[in-house]
Amino acid sequence: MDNQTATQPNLAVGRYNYDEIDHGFLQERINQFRSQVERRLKGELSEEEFKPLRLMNGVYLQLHSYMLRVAIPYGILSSKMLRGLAYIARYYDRGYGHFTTRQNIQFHWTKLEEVPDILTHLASVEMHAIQTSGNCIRNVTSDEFAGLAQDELIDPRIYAEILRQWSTLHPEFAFLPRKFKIAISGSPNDRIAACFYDIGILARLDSQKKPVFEIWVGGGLGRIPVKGKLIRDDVAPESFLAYVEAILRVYNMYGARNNLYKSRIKILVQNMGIDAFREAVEKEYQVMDQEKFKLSPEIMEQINQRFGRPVLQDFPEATKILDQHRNENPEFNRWIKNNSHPHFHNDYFAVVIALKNIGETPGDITADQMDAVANLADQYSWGEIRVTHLQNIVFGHVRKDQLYKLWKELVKNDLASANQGLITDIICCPGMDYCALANARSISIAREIAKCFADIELQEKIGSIKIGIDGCINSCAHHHITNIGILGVDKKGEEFYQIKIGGSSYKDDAEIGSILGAALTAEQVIEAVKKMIDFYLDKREEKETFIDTYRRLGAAPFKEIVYAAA
Amino acid sequence: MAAETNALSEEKCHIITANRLSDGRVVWFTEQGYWSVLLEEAYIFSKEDMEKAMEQAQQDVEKQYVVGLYGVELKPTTRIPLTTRERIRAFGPSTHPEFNPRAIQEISTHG
Repeated sequence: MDNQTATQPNLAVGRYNYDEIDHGFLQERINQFRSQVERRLKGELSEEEFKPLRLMNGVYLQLHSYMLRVAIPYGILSSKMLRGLAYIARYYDRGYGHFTTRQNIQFHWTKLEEVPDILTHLASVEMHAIQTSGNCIRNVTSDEFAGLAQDELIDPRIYAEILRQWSTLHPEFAFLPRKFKIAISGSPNDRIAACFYDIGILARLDSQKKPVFEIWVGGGLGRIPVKGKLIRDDVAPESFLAYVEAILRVYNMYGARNNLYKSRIKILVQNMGIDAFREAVEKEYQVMDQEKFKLSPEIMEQINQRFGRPVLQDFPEATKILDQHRNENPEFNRWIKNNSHPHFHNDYFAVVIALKNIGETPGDITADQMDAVANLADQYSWGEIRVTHLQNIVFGHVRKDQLYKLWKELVKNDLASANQGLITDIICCPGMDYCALANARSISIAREIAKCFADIELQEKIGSIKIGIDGCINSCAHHHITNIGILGVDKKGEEFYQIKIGGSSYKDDAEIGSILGAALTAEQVIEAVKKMIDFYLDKREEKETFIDTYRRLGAAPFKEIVYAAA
Repeated sequence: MAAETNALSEEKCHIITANRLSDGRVVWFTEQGYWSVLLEEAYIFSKEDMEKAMEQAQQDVEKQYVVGLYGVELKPTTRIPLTTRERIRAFGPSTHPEFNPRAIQEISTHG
């Protein structure tokens, strides 16, 4: 398209573009790992010695094969990167990849002996698998609408990139008590589940109307779900990195290292209490060399210069043309209604490409679809692709008059599901079909539930609802904080499923769900979801969503309806 | 371990599994002492014989052919693993029936 002009045409839009230092660092790291793999295959390193080394490079041994988890910093890909991932899926894996709830992508069928070559290919498109495993600061996640949201106060991608550069090979934080996850948004409205991260960062306006960060700490899911605490709500952007450093120092110093289940920062904050924890952080913050971490305008500009930006053009006819297309085509109209998001520029929309086709695996994408999305991104959204923590894809800047053409192309590629935010937009971990930690399958449950609600009109009637399905208590699919959460459990080698109800992910009404009752079989849990939805449809009052009805009525009637005949 | 001794019985319901080091594929310890990606080629041991068999298989861990060695129990008188997890390991992800090792016809690697 001729309107796809970027501020710096040689730089990919929306993300940090590597310089020579970045390329050199990755090459050095790959050479190191190649040598480690060779030594392992020759038997010079035992599995015990090798395991931490492979994990530092994103390589897990799962049920069927080695899995490679590739980082997508703050969830943003260029079309070149996505084509690189398609190549890996096609030539090193089995033709597909799986987007995770932490904005990473996983390849489930890699061979250890080929991983160094895969990493070399990744590096050629400015990607890597560092910080996707181990007790380090993991890949930083962000708002999928960063840089375009109408409510945005600060562009979080610059800060996420600073966190990435700061945390990569940070000498003090390479071996933390446990893994550490940070999410950041530049908006006051939480779209990142800020209260459920080790550190969750949102922006707000202070009393002087200046943007500042509010920082949540000690949240998390897993075996012990905890809603984080607000540690500071007035961190100036230039002091942001110093304050995060101070938090990490306190965690590194006091976090438990002798008990895997007590080693996350959430336990430390719980044990100390937020006031004492805050006091310890403030003390560290006051004595540390703050100047060293100060984000001066020069540093910010240096990072900013490595980001390409789209030059958005006014096109006054855009909305009129979009409306005309919407009137002419009800399916397109439905897709726009459910899958679009407002853009700060009135002539543009962001659109969600849902990877949630009925009966398919949530978050999976084939190599052919990756190539198709990359081509469409080049045509319609400056070659920029965003991956969401809800396992979908976003095109950030599509001019409204172009949306109909884009949608028709998505239909051809089986990528036009209009179910974003509806009951079939299920979050789902790989579960026991792949994962060595899982107790039960999750994908099969997600597929069956989606089939039960395949009728899009029924989905729209049900309205906004979030279902998360996990194969184990690690909670990659956020079952604790989805409206209906399903957790796979093992009973003597057979799969059962526990239901949680009433969870909610985002700051204003963040809540951990309650266990509904005894675990059910796979067939029973699918029936249970159907019964709960039927009950909700019967009992809801005007404009109530599922969570509204649950909050009004409480868990008891849902429990009764599920277990009465079970 | 003669072939005729590999018959199914109430007593013999244990097999040995691991992942192949080079590519991570699920493999099963066979009568001939090599590792096969096909469950039907796994040798079935009695509980009493497992200790000795595991010792033998362990040599292949030390030789770096396989990792993560352990025993798997079968449903009595069948070649089907007792737990869902092991059935998934044996037959591939239930979401991708085309990835069943038999369907893929991967070649066994000698251990």
